Amino acid sequence: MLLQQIINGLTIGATYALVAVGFSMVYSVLELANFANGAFYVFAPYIVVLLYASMGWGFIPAFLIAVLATGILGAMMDRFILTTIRNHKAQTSSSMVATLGVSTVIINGLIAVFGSATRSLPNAVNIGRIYIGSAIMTGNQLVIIVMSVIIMAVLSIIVYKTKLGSAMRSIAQNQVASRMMGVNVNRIITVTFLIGSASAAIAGTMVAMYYGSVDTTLYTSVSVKTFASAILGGIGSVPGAMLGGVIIGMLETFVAGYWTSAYKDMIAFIIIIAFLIFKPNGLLGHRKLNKV
Amino acid sequence: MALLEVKDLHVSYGAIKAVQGISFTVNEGEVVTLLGANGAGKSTTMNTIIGVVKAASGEIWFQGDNIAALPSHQIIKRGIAVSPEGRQVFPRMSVTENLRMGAYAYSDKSLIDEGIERAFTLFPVLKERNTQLAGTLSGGEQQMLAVARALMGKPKLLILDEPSLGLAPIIVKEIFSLIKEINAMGITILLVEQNAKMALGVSDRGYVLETGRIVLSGDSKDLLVNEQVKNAYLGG
Ligand SMILES: Nc1ncnc2c1ncn2[C@@H]1O[C@H](COP(=O)(O)OP(=O)(O)OP(=O)(O)O)[C@@H](O)[C@H]1O
Ligand SMILES: [Mg+2]
Repeated sequence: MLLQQIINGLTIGATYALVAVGFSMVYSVLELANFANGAFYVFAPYIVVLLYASMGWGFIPAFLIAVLATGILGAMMDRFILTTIRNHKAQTSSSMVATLGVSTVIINGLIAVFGSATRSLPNAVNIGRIYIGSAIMTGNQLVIIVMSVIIMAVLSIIVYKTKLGSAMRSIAQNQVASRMMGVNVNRIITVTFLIGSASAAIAGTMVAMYYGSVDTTLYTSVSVKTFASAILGGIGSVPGAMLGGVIIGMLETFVAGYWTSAYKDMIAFIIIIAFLIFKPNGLLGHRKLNKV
Repeated sequence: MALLEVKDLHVSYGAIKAVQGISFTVNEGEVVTLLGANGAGKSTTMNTIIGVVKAASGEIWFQGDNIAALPSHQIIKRGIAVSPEGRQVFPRMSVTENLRMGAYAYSDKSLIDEGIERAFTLFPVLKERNTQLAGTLSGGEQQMLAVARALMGKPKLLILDEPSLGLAPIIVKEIFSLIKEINAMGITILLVEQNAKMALGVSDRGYVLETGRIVLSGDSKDLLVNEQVKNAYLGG
């Protein structure tokens, strides 16, 4: 029982971690809470439903196109809406409202095209299951955990080991100085949105596959859990987002397993509030380190 | 032909006219000083040259091209580097990472290795602290890092905005002798300073800026003995 809960918690936690990393990357370059991230998470599985379940494409091409399309959608939101807002030197809150607007358009667009009923997404990963003692890890769970770990490793390498990552971190620390070093700030931010949206797309599709269905109401719960993961780990911190996601996934699985699933979604809210009050920098967040 | 030629430059922040029609030149190989009281528009001028602030009107010619309308990342690539006022190091990056950021506009790996080696030779203290986060360095160390970072790409024009600000006298001396050294490496320098005596001491020519206008210019040795400069900037 315990081992089974851990496996289930890790699976869902890995997907929260993946969304939260993308969300955190965007947050750190702009100090912007991207409300559209949850909409991207829901958008991608619908594209997979369309291409794979309805049009009969292979799963892998459908998945790749969905991730790419979602990434481009995120990049376009930044390029055509948020960049303009930034160039007018408006408050970050204007951008935040803009992302809320975009998420509303996406969700309502999905409802208009696909209807508000739950759409099923047949399982594409039939690689059997693994028995670990009395616990079972399904092929789906294995794929989710392995994929999440690989993608998060790739994202960490990008952020900490590449020139693109240096540019992202420099923007997070001092945007004007980044420009003085020759960083094309707007372009790097757009690329960050592309990566963040694609990460949300991958997570959303994996979760839809896991549950065998997708519907637009997921938007709210995934948004709350993304915020909770990011805040718990320390908003803007990549390792923090990973840790936060796994902890939230574990906690809610345990609450559902040992207590009642009615309280499952409350965990994220409690964590957001508790951390904002008692530990606003989160578990791995940094304090201000900026001598004048 | 001058390396840098600024023509009738106007810069405003909303209603504030910070720079009101200044013109000046910096020739290849020179050290040129821009003097002026607080708020005269010196930093604004520097930031406009590198494109971080946009000009309301006027021209900025660098190596024969008007760069006034270019975005900063394209200007930096052309070989202008700045050590900004207030240092502006990346606080949560190590000393070495900060230096690497100084060569961001260039992809030549040997340039980076060479630059880091040069930085460590010029500033041994940075070598000792190469893995330390820049935000935990002392003010003087951060200043050295800012200058070293600007040198990373071997710029054609190096802009130093108040490099001696807040430094102990002995470090100030070091910074100024370093300016000569950097210039001897073939790098043209545009220097903004409050420390007029030191600045004019290391520079070939100077301009005096007052509330957004150039009121005086000439060879540094002449400015050093100019009554107006003496009264305003050399303590009488
Ligand atoms: N971002 C800004 N927004 C509004 N006004 C500004 C801004 N930056 C500078 N100013 C104003 O423009 C004028 C010139 O400022 P600037 O920083 O260029 O002066 P400075 O000569 O560098 O002064 P200091 O020696 O104090 O560094 C000042 O009146 C200043 O208040
Ligand atoms: Mg200044």
